[in-house]
Amino acid sequence: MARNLLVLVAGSGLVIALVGLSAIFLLRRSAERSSQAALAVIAEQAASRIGAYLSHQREMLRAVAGLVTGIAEAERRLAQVPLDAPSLGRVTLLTQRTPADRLPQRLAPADVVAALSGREVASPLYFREDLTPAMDVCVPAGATPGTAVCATLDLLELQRQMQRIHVGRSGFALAFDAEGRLLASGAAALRANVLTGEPVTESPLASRVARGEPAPASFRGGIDEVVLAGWARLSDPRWTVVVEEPKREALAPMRNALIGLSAVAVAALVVTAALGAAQSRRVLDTLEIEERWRTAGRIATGISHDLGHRLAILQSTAALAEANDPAYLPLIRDNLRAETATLKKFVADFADLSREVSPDQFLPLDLNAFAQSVGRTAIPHAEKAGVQITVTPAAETPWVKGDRYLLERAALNLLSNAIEASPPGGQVSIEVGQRDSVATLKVTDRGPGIGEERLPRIFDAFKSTKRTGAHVGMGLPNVRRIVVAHGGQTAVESVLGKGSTFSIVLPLQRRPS
Amino acid sequence: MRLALLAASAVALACTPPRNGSEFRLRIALVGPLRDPAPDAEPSTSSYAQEWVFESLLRTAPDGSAIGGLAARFQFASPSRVVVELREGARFSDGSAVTADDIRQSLRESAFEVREQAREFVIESPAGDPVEPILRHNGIFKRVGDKAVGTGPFQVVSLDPERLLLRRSVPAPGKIAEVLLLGYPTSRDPFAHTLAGDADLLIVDDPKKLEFFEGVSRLRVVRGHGANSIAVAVGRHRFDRAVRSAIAAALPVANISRLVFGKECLPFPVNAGTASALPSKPLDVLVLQEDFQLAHTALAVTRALGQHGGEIRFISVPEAFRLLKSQDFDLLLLRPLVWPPSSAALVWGSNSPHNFSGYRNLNVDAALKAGDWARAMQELREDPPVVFICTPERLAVVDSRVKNPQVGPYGYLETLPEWEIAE
Repeated sequence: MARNLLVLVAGSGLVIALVGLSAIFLLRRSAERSSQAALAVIAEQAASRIGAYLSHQREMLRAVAGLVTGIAEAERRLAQVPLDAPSLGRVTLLTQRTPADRLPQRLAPADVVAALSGREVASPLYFREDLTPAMDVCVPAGATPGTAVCATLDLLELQRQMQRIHVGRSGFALAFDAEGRLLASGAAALRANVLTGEPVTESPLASRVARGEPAPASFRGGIDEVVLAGWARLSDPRWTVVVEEPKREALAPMRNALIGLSAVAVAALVVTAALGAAQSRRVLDTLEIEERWRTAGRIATGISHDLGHRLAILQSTAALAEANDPAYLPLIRDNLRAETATLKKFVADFADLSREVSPDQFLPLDLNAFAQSVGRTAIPHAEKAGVQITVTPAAETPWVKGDRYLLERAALNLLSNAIEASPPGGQVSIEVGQRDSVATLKVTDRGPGIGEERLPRIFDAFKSTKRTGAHVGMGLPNVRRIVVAHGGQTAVESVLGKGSTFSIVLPLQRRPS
Repeated sequence: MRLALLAASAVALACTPPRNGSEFRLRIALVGPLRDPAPDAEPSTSSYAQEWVFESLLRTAPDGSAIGGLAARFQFASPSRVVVELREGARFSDGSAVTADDIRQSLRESAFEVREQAREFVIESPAGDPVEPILRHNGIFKRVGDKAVGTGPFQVVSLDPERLLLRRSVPAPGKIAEVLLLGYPTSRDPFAHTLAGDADLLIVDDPKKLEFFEGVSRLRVVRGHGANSIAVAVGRHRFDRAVRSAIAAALPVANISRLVFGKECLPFPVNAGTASALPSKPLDVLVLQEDFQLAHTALAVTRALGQHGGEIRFISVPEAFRLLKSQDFDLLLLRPLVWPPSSAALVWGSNSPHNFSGYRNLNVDAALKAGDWARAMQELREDPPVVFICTPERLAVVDSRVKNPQVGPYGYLETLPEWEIAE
């Protein structure tokens, strides 16, 4: 029952653990998705701010360009613009006659031509000699066709924007161009790459995102740690912004909550198991006590019945003796002998019950030889009852381990029962066998057999089928006790009118060297 | 058992952290090739290291006054004559004692006379020039073969154009043990390498660049007052004293300073006088190429001059030197020394080796000879060779483990040998 209880508790624990693990997995996924969504929102906001800043700068440049009404004085006036609008950097007038050394530094020749033909053009982001990130932008000059106003936009603001973004304790933002070059970094560890142009881990991802491919939400980032990421794209220029947060940090609140919940759940489980075990122990103890009382009751009933019977015979014998009639002497003698033998067996049965089985004292036993020995021991009893005993050994010697004395008591008990159940001239057979990993010793009689309804409790104490008054029903329970203590089993097969077969099944052992 | 104890001791020793400072190497990222830092060698990026190897007799206190350097005590008999007593035990790194000849040789550009009297040295300028500014800035050295040795705490260990390694001559626990100067080809390299963690110190010439170091916990920003100002030189070959004074009066230095530098540059006082004598022809402004701060200042200057402001033209460094000598320009933006006062005044002394512009002003000379630096500067404002706009702060980013980094008072990193390393 205790094992069943343990299995029940372990099974429940396993189910609870599985449910808990599934819940943890789902919660983790949910927390990841939630963090990524939040990072994507921040990235979108950052991209939007950068876009707005660039757009504002261009708008400002267009406004300045709109005021240009003639070449004369325009260059001088434009040169002064950065004093009031520092973010426009150097502002110049671009005409067909602008010398090559005064053209915007990073504007491709085709873009210069395009600018002079009235189109807005922009260079890629680059770093000026003073390390300020910049971009050359040209817009058409208002009322003077064939001219443009160009500015070297100061994009330090881009770096500032990235540095202003702090997610959690160490989350940061990065901005990339369409080719994956790092333009600005909120992560101090990656800022050198902004200046050197060396790609970072995110560079290939950024260029893929710029091409419209799906944005990876979790990867090992440039800070050499697995990060959760949210991406956003700008359309013009085709830059990307990624906001990253180390995964361990992003999921820390969820992890802490889970640890807390798990601790509470485990504590609850332990308390429940402990309470359940304590309660079960109490129930088992109660059941055990009740069972002991029932057993004691059965023993008391059996003893009082059998001893009462013996006492009645002895009282009758005493009455015969008081008659002082010599004719009664043979009867008195026979009675005393029979009752003394019965009481002696009674005591022997109880003595067997009190003998402890000690597995550490078991010795190897040749079951064939053992059966022969038991058969020989029972011959006097069999001859007296007019019964013949046959022993059939196994083809191959089966070895078992055990307490020879106790096993002999058990086998003799079965044999004695079989002899007593057999009619005069009958036969009792002992058969030794082995199959798989067990050895068997079967005792078969051709007696009246046992009713089917009695078989399930045949090995219980004080359930003797013999109603001669000479048996207390301790024999078969003792047989089962001995065999079970040897790691074996007992079995019975019986057919009314044909006889019974009692089996002792023991674990096979290797032949001793 | 004994063996186990020995093994445990060995492990414990191996696990003991190195004593800070005694093994601390500071890497400094600089622009340009590195050369011999000796005072008589060609000036180069290595000059930052000069003060750590070659001590000067005097040093500059934070308030601008002179204090002892290699000289433990000094007594000025006049601005052109001083008696110095060297620090007890002061010797060159090769173990030799400092002699009058060594001092004379070290100060030979100034043609000072040096005599040894008992344990003291008498240093005097026969021309009557002030000796104090020279003694502050000229390191004392001695040539031993092709190598210069000094009395400073560091000595040169190895040198190539990209790396100059200096090591402390006498170990000083808790302080920097070695300094490695790294010379990079472009201004972007020191910046990027410092950000990347390849260097521990970077001199920053523009406050805007500090923004890149926000959030870099490995480094800390160090600020100090500047020694060079932003100034507008007025061509003496083209304009007389009156016009130069008028131009100085016409330039709203505080406005220009605020417009260009915000609060990052301490403006000079407003120049007195009237702008009535301004020349009718617009004044062209020359500015060094790739100096964005000066270019921006040039814009502000031309705007401040209004109709008197002319074109802005970018020139190279050699051209700037040539023009400084000829003084044949309208306005030229430059960064002259303005601190400490004695050194700043010396730049404008008629016979000063540091006077590259050929400025001559007898009143300034007289003030210099009298050792009255304040009066010399005042005389300069009366007959201005330049109009001082403002003095930007000096900036650096330094390894956060350094407890007491400082720029200045005079030499950018002159106090480096005293910097302590945190536990």
